[in-house]
Amino acid sequence: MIERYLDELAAELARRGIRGRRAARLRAEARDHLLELSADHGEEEAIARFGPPQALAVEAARAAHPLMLLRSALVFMAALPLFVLPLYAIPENTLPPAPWAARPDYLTWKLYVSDGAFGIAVLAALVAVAAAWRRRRRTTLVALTVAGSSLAASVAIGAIGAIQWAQAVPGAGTTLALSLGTSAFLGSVAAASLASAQRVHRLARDLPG
Amino acid sequence: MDLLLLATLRRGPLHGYAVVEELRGTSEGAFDLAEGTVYPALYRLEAAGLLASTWSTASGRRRRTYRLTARGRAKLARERKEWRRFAEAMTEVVA
Repeated sequence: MIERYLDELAAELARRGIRGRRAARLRAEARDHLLELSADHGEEEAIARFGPPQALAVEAARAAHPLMLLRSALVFMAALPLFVLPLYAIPENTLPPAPWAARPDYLTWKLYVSDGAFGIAVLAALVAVAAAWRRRRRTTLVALTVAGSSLAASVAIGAIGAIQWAQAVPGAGTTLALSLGTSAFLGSVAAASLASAQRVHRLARDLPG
Repeated sequence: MDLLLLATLRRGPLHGYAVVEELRGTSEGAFDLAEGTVYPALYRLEAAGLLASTWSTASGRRRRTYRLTARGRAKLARERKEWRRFAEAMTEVVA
């Protein structure tokens, strides 16, 4: 009976996005508590006194969702400094010299726009982390969405510029492909953390009360 | 709920079941809550840095034991002061 209750609890927790270590810990503590209670009062009363699994899962979700949102914002934020590799470190150290004295305008404006969008992404991500720390769910999500959109714009414009650069400078293709690959990987990490934040926001919004 | 849990843990570390028992005993049954809901509240307080917890083994059973942190003690002291002021004011008005 207790095991069935614990399985129901695990299912209710999973429905609210709580899995893995967090769910295992609650399950372990619930089992310990129920065994102790049932030794004195029997399994049926122990389960009745422990409360319905739905109610417990809702309370657990209320406690866990702000932390999950903060984690998503921190992962997003942590990916941003690593963009120094594709945006600066890799091209600066490995690109062959360009054949022009002054960089052509069609590349320059793309670099500036890409850098500007990246700056907006960093600022918005900082706002998202601060909002998540203060448990402002909606502000966190809005800031992360702005950060994600700015980052996507930065990477997309940067990618167009990189392709044009590779066409204009012989031997630059390998370096720029490496930069683009690294950008795509880091961008997908940021996108995954944004998707996770959106999911937590939806789950939290759907909690009763 | 938070104040009740912090106050219950001020005498020393306890695991979840003992927290509920202590709370029920001290309140003479007045706080007869759904016992499972104490765990999310403990997790929330732990995440806020007011409690710390460790796994321990007693009578062959593994349990998570909770204790107040320095921040938790400070918070409890503040909350108790505020509560006494509120209770005194209520007593003055109602009694």
